[in-house]
Amino acid sequence: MSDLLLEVKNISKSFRLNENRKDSLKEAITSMFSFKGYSDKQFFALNNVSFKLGKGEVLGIIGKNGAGKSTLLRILSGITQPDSGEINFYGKSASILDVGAGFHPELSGRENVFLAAQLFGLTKEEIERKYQSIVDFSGIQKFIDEPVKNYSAGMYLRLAFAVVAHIDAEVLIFDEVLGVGDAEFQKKVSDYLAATTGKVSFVVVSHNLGSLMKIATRLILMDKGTVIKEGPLSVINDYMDEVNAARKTAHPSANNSCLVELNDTAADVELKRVGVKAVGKNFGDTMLDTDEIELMVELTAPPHSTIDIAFQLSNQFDQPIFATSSLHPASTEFSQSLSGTLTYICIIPADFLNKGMFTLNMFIVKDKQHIIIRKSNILDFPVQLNSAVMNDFFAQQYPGGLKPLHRWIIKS
Amino acid sequence: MRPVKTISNKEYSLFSYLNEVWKARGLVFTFARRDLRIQYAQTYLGVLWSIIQPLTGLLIFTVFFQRLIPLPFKVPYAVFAFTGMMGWFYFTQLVGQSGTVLMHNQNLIKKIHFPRLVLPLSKMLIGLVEFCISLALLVILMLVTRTPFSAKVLLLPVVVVANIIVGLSIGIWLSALTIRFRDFHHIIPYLVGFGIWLTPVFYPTTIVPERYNWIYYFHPVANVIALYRWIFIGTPLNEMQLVVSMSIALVMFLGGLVFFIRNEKFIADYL
Repeated sequence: MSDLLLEVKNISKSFRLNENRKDSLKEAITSMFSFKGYSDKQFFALNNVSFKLGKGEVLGIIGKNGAGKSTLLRILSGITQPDSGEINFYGKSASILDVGAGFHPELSGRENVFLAAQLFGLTKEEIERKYQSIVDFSGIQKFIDEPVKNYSAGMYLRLAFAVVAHIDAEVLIFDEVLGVGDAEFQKKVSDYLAATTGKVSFVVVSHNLGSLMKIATRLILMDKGTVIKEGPLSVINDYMDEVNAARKTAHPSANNSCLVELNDTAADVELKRVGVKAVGKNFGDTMLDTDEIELMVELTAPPHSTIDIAFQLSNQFDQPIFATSSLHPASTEFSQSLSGTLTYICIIPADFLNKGMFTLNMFIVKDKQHIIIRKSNILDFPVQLNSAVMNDFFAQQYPGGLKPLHRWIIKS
Repeated sequence: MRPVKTISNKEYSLFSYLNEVWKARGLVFTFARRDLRIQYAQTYLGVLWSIIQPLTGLLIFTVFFQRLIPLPFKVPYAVFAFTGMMGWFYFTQLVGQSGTVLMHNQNLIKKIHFPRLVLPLSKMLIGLVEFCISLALLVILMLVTRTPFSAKVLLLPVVVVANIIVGLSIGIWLSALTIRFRDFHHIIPYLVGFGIWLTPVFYPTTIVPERYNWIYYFHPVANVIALYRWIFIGTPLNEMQLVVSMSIALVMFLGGLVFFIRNEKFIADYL
């Protein structure tokens, strides 16, 4: 790559687990006199991460929560140091971990522009030269001398982004920020991205694959602190399918994974099991997109109380796909104030979920107001395409979590 | 191809770090201006508060101690007390503010990279503004009481620099240590609250029994105050005490600087 802009070489960073951190003076002093010292319990937030960024590229970094994205971002921004490895920038870079970082509510828009731009490394003269252009870009000339605490959220974001757009960096590093704000702000961002395509290189970190898909030219998939796959979108998608297939063959009778014993008690509610299956089939049988899907929870409820369940399905990037609860008006046939061992069943209609891997999360709500139990990532379950009815040329390729029944009408 | 910027686990050298701080010097002023603006935002009296505070301090000291504490020199008590207060207040401001400045700006520190030393330095500047207001009050006070000025006043900038170094010699340590051990956050009020009794702010060292005089060899602030009094009201100076205590302060200041720089890379991890 002749116009290499960023090279990340074997970056690692570990943290000592919290129990071993000496945050108070007493602990530090007592540990000086003991032979134990620091324990070796380490947690690798990043383990030997390497990648490159060339001119004009938009590199998306994706992964679940805890994959090491944020740590990587903090290191790229210079906020924290790696334990080992080296990062070389071959062009001016700027990191935006938060739109409006550095802004102070009591200061006026003008003062905040100067403050934020200086934090990004611009000199006073540079800012004065660009000031008018920044204000024009933000579109809030009238209020520029008002304290920003009086701004609407949209105005605040537009002004903050106007500063970012004037840093003149060759490498811009963003965290999730492309997804915030109102429609007007979103348009500003996408116009800016379109205008800078090819001139500025981006590293965009997100757990939201959807927002990256539109802009990224290349993706890096991270898990547990390492880069597990790198390539264009199609490569990442194929890889995900492979992982899902491998998981299926590894557990052919995946009874355990689709029916989980939880045995958790809170506020006299005893949670027993949670399961997912296709209606009319057994737990662990293949679920097809043409099956009705049954979400089930068994629990023991105390008398004189109302226990409700909320389910949420998310994709592998912790992005919510669909949520429902027994509090919903559509579930009025649901009897109130039952006690003893109860089974709650939610039926998701056939032809609703797309193929893919789904994660089940659950809340238990007591007396319609207190969340007493929260369970995330209870189980993962795959939904597969029904090949018998697959008469659609594109069927394999549709992205997204949902594939509801719908109609096409073509008129002339 | 030479990289524009390299990130690794290498330590900053003192020189290259100070060079970075120099490049970011504009931020020192911007932060100082920001904090001054915020300090007086939505106050009716605004900057007047910076005059009211030293004046009330002066009034209280004068009313309570004027008759109690005999002065061995021919100087109005108010002028004597005010020369002590000026140095002491700037010192406590440096210690107190730079001790907490990193914690107060943690949102910024976690989001943006800049040399963190800029933050305690900006507090130094704010203190300087308040110091100048006090200085103007002192001049007025001396004119009103017809206290004569001497040519030694020209040494004032040197004394102010000594005051800053003495303040930062503790402030920078606290700044870096508070991040790691929050205990130091609780030490600051004691240092400021009790320190004034151990420092000759409103009493002259002549009322201290001679057998305790060795304390002033290890008490840089007392010597800064002695310097202010020497240039404004001509009280005698103990040169030996001055040299020893200032050397201690200078060593602590440089040590604090090195300590701060070595810990800079962990600051975001510990916040």
